[in-house]
This record gives sequence, structure tokens and C-alpha cells, in this order.
Amino acid sequence: MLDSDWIVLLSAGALAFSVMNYVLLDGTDLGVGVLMGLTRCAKDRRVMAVTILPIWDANETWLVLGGGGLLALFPLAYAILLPALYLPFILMFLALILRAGALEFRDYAPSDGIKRMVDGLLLCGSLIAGAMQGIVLGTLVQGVPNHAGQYSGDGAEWLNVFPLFCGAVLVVGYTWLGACWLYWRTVDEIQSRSKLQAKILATMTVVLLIVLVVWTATLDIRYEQRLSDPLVGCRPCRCLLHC
Amino acid sequence: MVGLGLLMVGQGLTSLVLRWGHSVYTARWMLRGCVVMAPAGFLAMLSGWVVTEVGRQPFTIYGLLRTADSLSSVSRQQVIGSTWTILVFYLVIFGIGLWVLLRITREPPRTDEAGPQPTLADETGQS
Repeated sequence: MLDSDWIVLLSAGALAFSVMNYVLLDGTDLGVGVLMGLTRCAKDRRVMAVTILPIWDANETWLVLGGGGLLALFPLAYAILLPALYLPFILMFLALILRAGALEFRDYAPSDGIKRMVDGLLLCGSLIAGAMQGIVLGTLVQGVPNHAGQYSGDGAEWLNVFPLFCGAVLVVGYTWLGACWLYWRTVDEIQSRSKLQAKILATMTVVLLIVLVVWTATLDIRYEQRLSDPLVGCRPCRCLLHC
Repeated sequence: MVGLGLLMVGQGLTSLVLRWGHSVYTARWMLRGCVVMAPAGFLAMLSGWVVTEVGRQPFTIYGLLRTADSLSSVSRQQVIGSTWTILVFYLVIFGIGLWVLLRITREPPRTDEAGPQPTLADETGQS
């Protein structure tokens, strides 16, 4: 029989695997949604929609495994986190529904004006879903007040500056993934535009991530110790923290 | 729910009998019946949910966990607010979905409908 340390480690690994897959796969779809909403040419928007249409729902299903996995493997964490993050999660799911409807039904729009509006909804849905996921992560890193296995906060910890900043960083990161995807799956003008966008967004993501790591280290002394451990963080990190 | 299930079985068997008589596409009373039966699956599913949710009260897990003990520590306003938002969202999305569906079904099938565009594959696939 496996001892309980191994079971915990494997459970965490399984959960981390599904969250990572979700971020890489559906994060890309959300990024394409953002870029689509910002594209003016209707023909280009259609091509961008077609690249993700057959696969976005499969990518999104990793979220179900992540949520179900958290409930089944770490029920106590689930019971504390879900009440704390009730509003961000509700907003995220509504945004995902909005996005799905907009993406699947945009071809049935009776006029170009309405189609433009539907793509506007796709942009809003993608932005809100990505931002809420970042906020959830930020709240988790910041720490959720709990007592005896019960959530003991007021349901508004996620409105702090740190979680909101995490939301913004994740949206930029997702848009970067989306630009990379479009560079891979399209040709000619959209491809060259995506290449430029991907370069700019990659720079932004790296800069924002550095700020985020330094900020994380200042949140809690344990984070600082862990991040300045040469095995976990890297030496430049330590230099940054102590200067 | 059970009644609707029996009606659906009856509809299937009647169609089978009519098919043997080669009149399944021409018997008007059967086609009218099919239109009336269209929302039967949806209604049966909803009644199924009502039966399970109401039937297990006052338990969340029958005999093990009472509904009163399984409340989350989410505030009342948040629950009321989110319930209304979800309700409005669903009504709008179901409304638009139903409108699109009816618009498609009203249109009789044609032979010259546009199929998939082969050029799209070149624009979005790997070269």
C-alpha cells in the first residue's frame, strides 16, 4: 500500500496536471477571443473563430476535471475556497457561457452590425473569464481566512490589489498564448500580425511576471524564504529581493 | 415523467408500424403528433430533476446529511444576487437559442445550400 504522503503528492500532481492543461489549452482559446474582439476586419475574425471552433469545448473540459478533482481529492480545501471565491467563480462561469454562445452562434447573426456586437460579447466574456481565473489564483496565494475547516472571511478578499493584479497578468499571458496559436494556425497577413503581437505580449508577460514574483515574495516571509532557496528560485531572484 | 416516457415509446412504436405500411412521412396526424411531442424530452428531464430534488428532502444525502447541515458559508445577498443573474442569463440564452432554432426549422430544406468551404482549410491548417 502507498503511504499517505504519496497519496497526497499524487493527488496534488493530478490536480496540477489538469490545471496546467486548462491554462495552456483553454487559456489559448480565451486569448484568441480577446484578439478576435480587437480585430477590425470581419473576414479575419471569421478565420480566427474557425481555428478554435472545433476544439475550444474539449479544451474547456479540463476545468471540469480541475473542479471535480479538487472536490474529490481535497474536500476540505474545496469547502474553504468555494465560499471565499463564490462571486469570482459565478462571474467566470457566466463569462464562459457568454463566450460559448457568442462563438457558436456568431455565424447565425442576421447582419454585420449584430455580428460585430456578438464578437464584442466574445471579447468581454474572454476578458472576464481570464481575469477571474487570475483573481482566484491571486486570492489563493494571498491566503484565505479560515477557522476549524470553515471559511471565516467576508467574501471580499478577492477585491484586494494583489488578486486584481494577478487577474490582469493572466489576461495578458492568455492573449500571448492566443497570438502564438494564431501564428501557428493562420497564413499571410493574420500570421505576420500575430507574430508581432506575440513578441510584444511575450515581453509584457515576462515583465509582469517578474513584478508578480517579487510582489509574492513580499507578501509572506515563507514565500520569500522559498523563492530565495537556490533549488526553487534562482539567484537573480534573490539579488532582486535583497537590493 | 413516466407518462411522457410511455408516450415517447408509443410514438416510436407507432412510427415503426407506419413505416412498415410505408406511410410514416405522409400520415398527417402522426406528423402533427410529432410536433406536439417535440418538447417531451425536455419536460421529462425537468420533471426528473424535480422528483429527485423534492423527493430527497429534508436530506442532501438521503439518511446521512440533512439539508440544514449542508449550507455553505456564503452570504444571503450573494446567493440571491447570483440566482437572479443566472436566471436572467439562462432566459436570454434559451430565448436566443429557441429563436435561432425556430428560424432554421421554418426554412424548408433546399438542394443548393452552401456546404463547407475548402479554402478555409488552407487558411487555418498547417502548411
